[in-house]
Amino acid sequence: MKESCPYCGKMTDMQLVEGVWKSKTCDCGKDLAALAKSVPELVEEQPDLESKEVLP
Amino acid sequence: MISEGTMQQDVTSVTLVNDTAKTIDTVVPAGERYALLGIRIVNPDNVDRIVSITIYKEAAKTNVIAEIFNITVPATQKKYWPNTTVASAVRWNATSPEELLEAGNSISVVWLAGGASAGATDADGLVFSYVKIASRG
Repeated sequence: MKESCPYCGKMTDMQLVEGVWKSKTCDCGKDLAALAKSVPELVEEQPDLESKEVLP
Repeated sequence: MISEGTMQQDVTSVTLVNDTAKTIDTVVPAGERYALLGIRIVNPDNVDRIVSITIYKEAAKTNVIAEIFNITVPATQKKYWPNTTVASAVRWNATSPEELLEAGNSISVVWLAGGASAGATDADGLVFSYVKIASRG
């Protein structure tokens, strides 16, 4: 698995960490893993299992 | 329908940054074939992104076999391939059973730049579901 580096534009290898392909340091020296941690993480909406059931 | 092989689910973290395109490539290894069953594509950014998925004959991405996806994915939303309902973020109504790929084929997923944005990451922003099959002469 390879990803484009936003700094140099070249394709760089990703690393498999606990079953997930993640960014690592590009050959240009930029740490793409650190970049990933510097931006907001998408939190997908989950159903609220604690909500009370409302009957008609 | 595929009746042999090993089911695989490759989960990839996707990080998008301000007004910058992103490409993620994967290549079918030598000695293997893939029966591509589904792809989950997320746009974690706060602006819309056009996402394309192209299958190339080789890792150098010279010859295009097929473009199987080219859709605007709204901010913080997800889409699935295959899905004949463009507006849907749910994997359903799939009419294409699978896409067979041979060793050396490359799958290239591109998120085009979407203008000024905050950027964002999603731990499972790209998921390939496929059956890995040994190549035969």
